[in-house]
Amino acid sequence: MDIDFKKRIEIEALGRVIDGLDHYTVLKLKPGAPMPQVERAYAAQSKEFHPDRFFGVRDPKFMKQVTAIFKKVNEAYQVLHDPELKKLYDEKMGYRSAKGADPATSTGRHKRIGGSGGGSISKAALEAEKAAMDADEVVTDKRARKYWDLAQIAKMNEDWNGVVMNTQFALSYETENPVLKAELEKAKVKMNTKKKKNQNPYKIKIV
Amino acid sequence: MPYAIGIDLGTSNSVVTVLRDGQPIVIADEEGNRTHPSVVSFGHGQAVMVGHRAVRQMVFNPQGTVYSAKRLIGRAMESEEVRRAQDLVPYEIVEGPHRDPRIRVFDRVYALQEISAHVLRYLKQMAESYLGEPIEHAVVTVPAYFNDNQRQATRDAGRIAGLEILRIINEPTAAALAYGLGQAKDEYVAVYDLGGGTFDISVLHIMGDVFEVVSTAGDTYLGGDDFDAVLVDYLMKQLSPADQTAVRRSPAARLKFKRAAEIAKIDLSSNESTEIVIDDVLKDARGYEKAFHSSLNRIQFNQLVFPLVKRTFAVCDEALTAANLEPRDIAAVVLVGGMTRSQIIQEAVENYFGRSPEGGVNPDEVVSVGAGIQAENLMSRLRGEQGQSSSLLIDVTPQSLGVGMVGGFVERVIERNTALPCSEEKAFTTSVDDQTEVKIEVYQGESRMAVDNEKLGEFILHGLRPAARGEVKIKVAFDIDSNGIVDVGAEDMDTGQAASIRLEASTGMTEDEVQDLAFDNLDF
Repeated sequence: MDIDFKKRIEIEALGRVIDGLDHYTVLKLKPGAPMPQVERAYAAQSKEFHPDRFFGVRDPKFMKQVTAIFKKVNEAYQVLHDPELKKLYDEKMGYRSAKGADPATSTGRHKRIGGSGGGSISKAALEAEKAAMDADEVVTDKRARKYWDLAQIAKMNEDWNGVVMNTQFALSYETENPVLKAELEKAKVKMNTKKKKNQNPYKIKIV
Repeated sequence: MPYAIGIDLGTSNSVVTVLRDGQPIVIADEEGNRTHPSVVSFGHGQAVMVGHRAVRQMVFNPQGTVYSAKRLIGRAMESEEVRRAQDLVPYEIVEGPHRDPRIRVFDRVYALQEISAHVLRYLKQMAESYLGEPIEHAVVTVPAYFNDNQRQATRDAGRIAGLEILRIINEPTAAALAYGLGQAKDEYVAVYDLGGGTFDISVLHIMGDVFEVVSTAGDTYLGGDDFDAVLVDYLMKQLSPADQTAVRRSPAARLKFKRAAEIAKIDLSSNESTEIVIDDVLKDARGYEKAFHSSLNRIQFNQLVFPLVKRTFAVCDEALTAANLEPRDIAAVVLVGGMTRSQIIQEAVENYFGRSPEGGVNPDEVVSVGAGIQAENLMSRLRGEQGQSSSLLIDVTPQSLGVGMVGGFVERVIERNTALPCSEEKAFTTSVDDQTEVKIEVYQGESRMAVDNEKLGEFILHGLRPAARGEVKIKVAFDIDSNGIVDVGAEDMDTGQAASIRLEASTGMTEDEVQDLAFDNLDF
């Protein structure tokens, strides 16, 4: 099976940064997101990154990246799906749990068993991460660069909401970075155009 | 556009399904049967019969007719199951070259993989004649509690039959896939699977078209056959000691009793009582054949089998505890396996979960349908189709994996029910001074003691730094991919010296043997 070019770029980019991401970002969630969102996000990310989605791809390097990403998705879910572990994690990271969480959602939720999965990725992954750092001179703060990378991925998917959100996160670490500011403005324009598109009640294709 | 088939390779019966335009089709034989006995009968010469035709040979040709091969496949000769089978089956079990049980029929010895391969090939051909095109790919189901050796042996059977096994999946998981197909549910489902030879329970979390296996547990020594055996015992006790001995000595007579018990059991699912008549099974004082008569009502039956029923719920407790769930968290219970047609099972399930089991699910076909769905899921990727139209199954390790330690203990590295793919590592050390090499033995199972677990393989890490015991640190890393293939590596953390193994079946067949037996290379 041939892999879509965009998907390949996305997985390579994500593979470079995945080890440094916090559990919410791995699931593409806002910090402190409530349980039902965690479940939906896990299902959505599994559909994107489970190795079975690329069954039959004869590219060991690519499959290794996919597997590493999916292991991180599992690891994030294992923590965030367990009400106790999630609470501890939120406290440790300084996240506020979402307000108005339905208490019913914190019972009857199974624990994910075992494996921290993906924590032991080899030297190759470390080197790839280092290469990613060298390649990008735009953003210097390590935490900011993490979100900047995610913004780039979102951009490739034309997910303008994602670009805005992640660029804003990046800006919170490098408040004066002119490139980030410019990128944010561009993304906001794109996001608003997209909204208008979605509002078109006649579903006529806007060229 | 090649198809892939889903096969429920059962202890007693097998079923084959193909997905056509998204619709599962259970394939029937030329007589219209949709379930096919997993029975292989070898005549004199080359003739091999499979399915219903083979069953008809059981009485005439008991030594040449092999059934319940699934109970033996992938097991070691000295295992409890092989010992039990030797007392029960009329065919001859002999030891193979890898401590594996094999079956001698007339003058030829067959590996269990070959027996199962005959069943698989029969189903493959049935699907080919239905679809009018060759089939090369399949998903095959196994009980959740099959260990790695049993799974590998099943894979080998597929290869002998000329099928590339895309994936081995667990029977209850397959059932859940079939139950949840296209339903867009968000709920916990329990699959209660009481088949001919094994009992399995699996809990799944269905999130739209993503199926997450949460926990699974089972008992490999508990199935419909055990219910039959309890009934046979009960009937035999009604015989005189002389008659009992005569029946025990005759494979044909034993088979007649087993059949009668099975029929009585099925009859009691719909009737309050049943008459048991077995013609010509005993001899009177003058040596003439005479019939055996008895009767059984449902209350007597329930009393006889109650201990077996109770055992299934101990396993349910185990699965729910592992999942951190209560019976009331389960939104639907799916029944699988012919034994769940029994009224006592249905009532007991309703009592335990506080809800009646799902209707509208055919317990004989649902596993095969799920296998067909997963076969199409994977095949669509092989055909190069992208997108997210198909369902996704997130499976787990069915049993824990660990490393053998001094004193006969096992140190677990990967806990069972861990989502796949996964990897985990642990640090170990030497047990004697100046040890220069260490043997890494890999075990699968839940016991702390190595002897009670299944040994999957071993390898040696050489070139350790000579030092006092406990000083050398050895990192052992396990990795399981989404196909369930296990890789184990060990590394001396001081010297960087490393060794690793990809686990293949340690009992059973070598690659050369599989190739030699492949039906494509043979004439029939």
